[in-house]
Amino acid sequence: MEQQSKQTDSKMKIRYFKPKEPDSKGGGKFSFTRNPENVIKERPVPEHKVEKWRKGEASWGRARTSFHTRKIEAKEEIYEKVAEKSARSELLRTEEPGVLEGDKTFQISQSDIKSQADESTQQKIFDLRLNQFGPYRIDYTRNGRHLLIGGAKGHVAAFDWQTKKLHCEINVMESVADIKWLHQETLFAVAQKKWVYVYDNQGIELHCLKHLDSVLRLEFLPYHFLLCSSSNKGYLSYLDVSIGKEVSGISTKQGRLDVMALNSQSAVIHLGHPNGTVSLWTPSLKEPAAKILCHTSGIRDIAIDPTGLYMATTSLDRRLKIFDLRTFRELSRYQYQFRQCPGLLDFSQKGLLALNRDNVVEVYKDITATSHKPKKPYLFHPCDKLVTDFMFCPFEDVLGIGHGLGFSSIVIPGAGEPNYDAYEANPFQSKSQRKQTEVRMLLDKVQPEMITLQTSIIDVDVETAKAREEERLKKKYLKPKKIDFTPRNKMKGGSSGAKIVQRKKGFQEQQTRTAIRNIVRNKQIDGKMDSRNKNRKGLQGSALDRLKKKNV
Amino acid sequence: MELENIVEEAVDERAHERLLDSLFALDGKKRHNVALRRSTNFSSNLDLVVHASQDTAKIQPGDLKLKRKNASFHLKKPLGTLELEKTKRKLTREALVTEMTKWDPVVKEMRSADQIAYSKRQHGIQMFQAVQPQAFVPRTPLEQEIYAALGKSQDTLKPHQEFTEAEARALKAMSIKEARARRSELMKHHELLSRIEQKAKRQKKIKSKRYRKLLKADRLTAEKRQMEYLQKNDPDALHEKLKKIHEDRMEERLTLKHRGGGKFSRLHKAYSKYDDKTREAVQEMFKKSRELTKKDENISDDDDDDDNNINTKFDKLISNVTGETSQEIINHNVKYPKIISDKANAWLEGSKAGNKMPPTQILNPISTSTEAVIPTPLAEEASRLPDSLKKVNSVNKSEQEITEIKKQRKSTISEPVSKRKLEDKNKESNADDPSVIDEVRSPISMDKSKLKREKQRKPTNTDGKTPQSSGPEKPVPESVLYSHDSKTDDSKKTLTMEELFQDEDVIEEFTKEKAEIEGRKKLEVDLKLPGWGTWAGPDYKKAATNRQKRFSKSKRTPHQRKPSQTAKAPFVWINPNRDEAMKKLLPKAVPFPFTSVQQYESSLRQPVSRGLVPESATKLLTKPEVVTKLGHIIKPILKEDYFSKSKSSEMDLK
Repeated sequence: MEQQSKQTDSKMKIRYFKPKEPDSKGGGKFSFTRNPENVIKERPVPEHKVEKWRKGEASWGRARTSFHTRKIEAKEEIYEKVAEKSARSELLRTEEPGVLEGDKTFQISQSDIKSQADESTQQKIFDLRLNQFGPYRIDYTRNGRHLLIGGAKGHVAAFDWQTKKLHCEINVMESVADIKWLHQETLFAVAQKKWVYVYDNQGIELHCLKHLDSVLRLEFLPYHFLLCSSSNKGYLSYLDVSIGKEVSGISTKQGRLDVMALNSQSAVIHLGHPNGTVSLWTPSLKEPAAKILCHTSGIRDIAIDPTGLYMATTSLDRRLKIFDLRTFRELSRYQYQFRQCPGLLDFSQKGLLALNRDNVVEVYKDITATSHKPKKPYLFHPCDKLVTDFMFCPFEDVLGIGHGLGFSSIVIPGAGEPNYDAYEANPFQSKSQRKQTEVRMLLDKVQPEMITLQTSIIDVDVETAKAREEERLKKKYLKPKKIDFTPRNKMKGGSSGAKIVQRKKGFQEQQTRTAIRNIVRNKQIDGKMDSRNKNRKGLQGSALDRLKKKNV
Repeated sequence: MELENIVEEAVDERAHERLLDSLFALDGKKRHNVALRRSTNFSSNLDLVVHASQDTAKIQPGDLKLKRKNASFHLKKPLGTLELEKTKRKLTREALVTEMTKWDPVVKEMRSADQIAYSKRQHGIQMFQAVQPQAFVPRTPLEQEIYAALGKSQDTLKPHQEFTEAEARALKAMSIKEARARRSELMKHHELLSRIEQKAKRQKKIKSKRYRKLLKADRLTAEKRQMEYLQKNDPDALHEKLKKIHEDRMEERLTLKHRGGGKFSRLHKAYSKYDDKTREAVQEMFKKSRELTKKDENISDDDDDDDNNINTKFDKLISNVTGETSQEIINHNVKYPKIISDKANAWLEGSKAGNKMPPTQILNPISTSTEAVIPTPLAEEASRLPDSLKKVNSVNKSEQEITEIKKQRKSTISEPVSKRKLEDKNKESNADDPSVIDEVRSPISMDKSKLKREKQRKPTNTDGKTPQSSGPEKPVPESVLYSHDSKTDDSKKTLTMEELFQDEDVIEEFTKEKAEIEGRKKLEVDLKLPGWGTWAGPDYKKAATNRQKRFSKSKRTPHQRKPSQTAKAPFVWINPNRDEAMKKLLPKAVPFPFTSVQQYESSLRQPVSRGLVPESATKLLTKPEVVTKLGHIIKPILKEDYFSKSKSSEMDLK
């Protein structure tokens, strides 16, 4: 028996192995272990960095039982560790965004950049001369690797724009209003003259969506798997591409819907109307969730900041306006003095705003942060013909422009997010990774009801809870539940800890006072009634009186 | 004086008690007091104490003092049975409670632990010495026979083998000459046995009716003879036999064997029309059944029988001996040689009973005891067996004692061996113990690997060579690139454009529309037909007002309550129902362990998915509370693991 126990003791000890030599097949042995001698101390992460990763206020107070209190405390500790880990992993974001320095950056043309930049950047600047079927509409995939172009006269092509490898090239023999990649580079939707068609990346027609007719604009919500389309006849529809069912179809009664933008943070659709209003839509409502009067004339385009906080609009009155989407208030407006009217808009991942007027594309920097319009743009690029569509390529410093003569790709330093999250969107995705991601995306699919203007979706519905409590209180003989009272935030020390407690106490005292008053009044009334009914027969107490609520 | 006082006091006390009792009796209640037993000897309560100084040799009478030894020298009255039971129960309960609550801290600790790894616990079969089953020993003849049939016995002769195991062993141990002699002897014996066996088999297969009839007649006469013999010599045995016959009859009556519902009777009934013989057979069967099912009264006073009575019955019963019993006898005849063959070579062992045991025999846990193989009724028939067999049988009987002794020895020897085996097993189970951790992956090392991967990644951006604005060699005139020259013209144009749109008063339109929508909302409040809901009649006003109140309250949403938000921003209309769909999904109450909304909300604030937090953080957040391993049984925790340490420490302290 002793022998046995000794054995187990020796086995319980952790044995440390040094990394092994690579095996004969050339594969390394991935056994990274720590040598017991070198103790690795982790340097503490600065507090301000951790603070950024904390998701909110830690829970305070005790839970119902001491056991659960302890559990919650343990959870809080873990959350703190998670914040620290997240802050620590910021170290891995090694790439920095590119930038053009100096006052007169707008003087730098694409040819200048091409002559100066490295080879890989040079390859990102190119033109596709497609003068037969233009003007073109374009779309990049979420990982920025694949490009889809659709000419108005029916030419549709999908390709890996970095390697210039063509996936498919077809002519749909119909006018094309818009094109959109679906969740991955394997599927795309084309809004043709009459209906919307879905093709795979080999150009094979998979579906013809006949209930989406005369569609002008397409958007895709990747987390909800919703293909959103706005039509010529004022019909906005949400189609779930994972199940092929129309989730919601809304008749907006706003006429032709040719201006549509997607808030990538909240998945709310913004529609621009000829009367200068922008309406916000969610699939669960048959009427707009909000309506903002942005301009006095027709909206030309809308763009929404990737953070989901700012909206830029242009209209026929030659104004560019920036709105704050939290308050729906106008932040700044810029009056254009040119002959041309500003048209299309697009925000890059880093917040650069591209804007076009006829054949010229301008890019502005930090436009949401400044209250006045910068005199000169950050960069500008004249095209040969009228620009009909442009889009910043995700994770690249590239702006793709679709115009009458085809497609051109230009480099805008500092436009794209330099560090990508491979779990979210991986530009170097392999085929198996793509399949994995697809499964994961389907598993993580968000229901369309979750689309809302409200930013936080985990809150307890206190309003309804209170209303319910009121309803409950109306019923006699029930114990009142304690209402959770959170004092309103006050300035100038009004919300110090002691003050909050004081106010809370005051509130509670007030509540009890009113409750007692009610009770006393009830008793008085009861007493009066009793004295009045003393002589009446048949008014003895019911047997059920014992079930009544006891008044304190 | 003092002594007298005390006595008086005591007496007074008793009287007082009596008085109190009577007083309580007046009230109709029984006085409850602690009953005490008193010793009657008062003097024993007092002690003689000498308070004399050490110096003086003489004791003065003043030094003698009487002092009460112990004021409360009373024995308590023994408890009543009810109270005794109560206290006993209480004590047992307390003991149980301490026993049960002993585990509380352990359970608490396990519940509050962030992870319990059952996979690290010892697994596999654990054998305890006390629980280990003893080797199976066949006891009943049936068991022994089955055992032999299964080939467990060393005495069975397997096909294509000359000798049984035991025989072979014995032969090996002998000298060549001896062995040869033995061998020849054995061969002869085997041959004989096999011949008998063959014969029995042959006889069993004979289908001749005549032979069977003869056999039956033979058997019946034998039976008759035996009965007669018993009648003369052993009336007790006869009585037994009769009883058995009677029981058989009873059994047959119960089973209704000759009723005529069987397949045989059905077939023969159909056939009896054409054949006289079959008709007779059927008739006979019926007769027999009647005979059998007839209740005989004589048997009831069978117990107080005299020999004459038995004799008269005897003949009748003999004729009634049924097929079953006869069958049995036949079976016995056939079976007998087989059984003996199983036993037969025990004589071999017996010859060298004094010799040492062969090791294989020792290790074999199955005892080869053979004592009760022969059923007792057969012993009587032994006389009819051939002589050679009889000899074997007698030898066999003599061997019984020896085998018993062997058995005992075996059981003592086999113990340590099994112990050793057990330990080996334990070692094996330790070898593949999952608790042995070979390596520990540190989070830092993981990070390192990640970092490497990051470095390998292709550079995405052009931050390496950012072209400076001062870089271009040929400065392009600003006016060419960025046409600002026609400013004045443009401003004129804008004015005209704005004028163009001024007559379309969009703002007014918007505000109008907004007001309209809000107004429509208000109108929506009550669309019910008059009279709807006023079930008590038009005069009952209170109900109607109540309803209205409730209706308006429930319809009032927080956004409608706060008109300031929209009033402040006249160009914005926010749908008051925008979150209706979402609200259905929101929790409306704080669930169990949480006491406040803040607590609950903060518990949900941390995203878990690896898309939102680092991989290591996801693992931390989704750490399983219980880790099990497939196929590993989670055994109850052992007391020793949790309490032995503390006990040992206590022992040390002592």
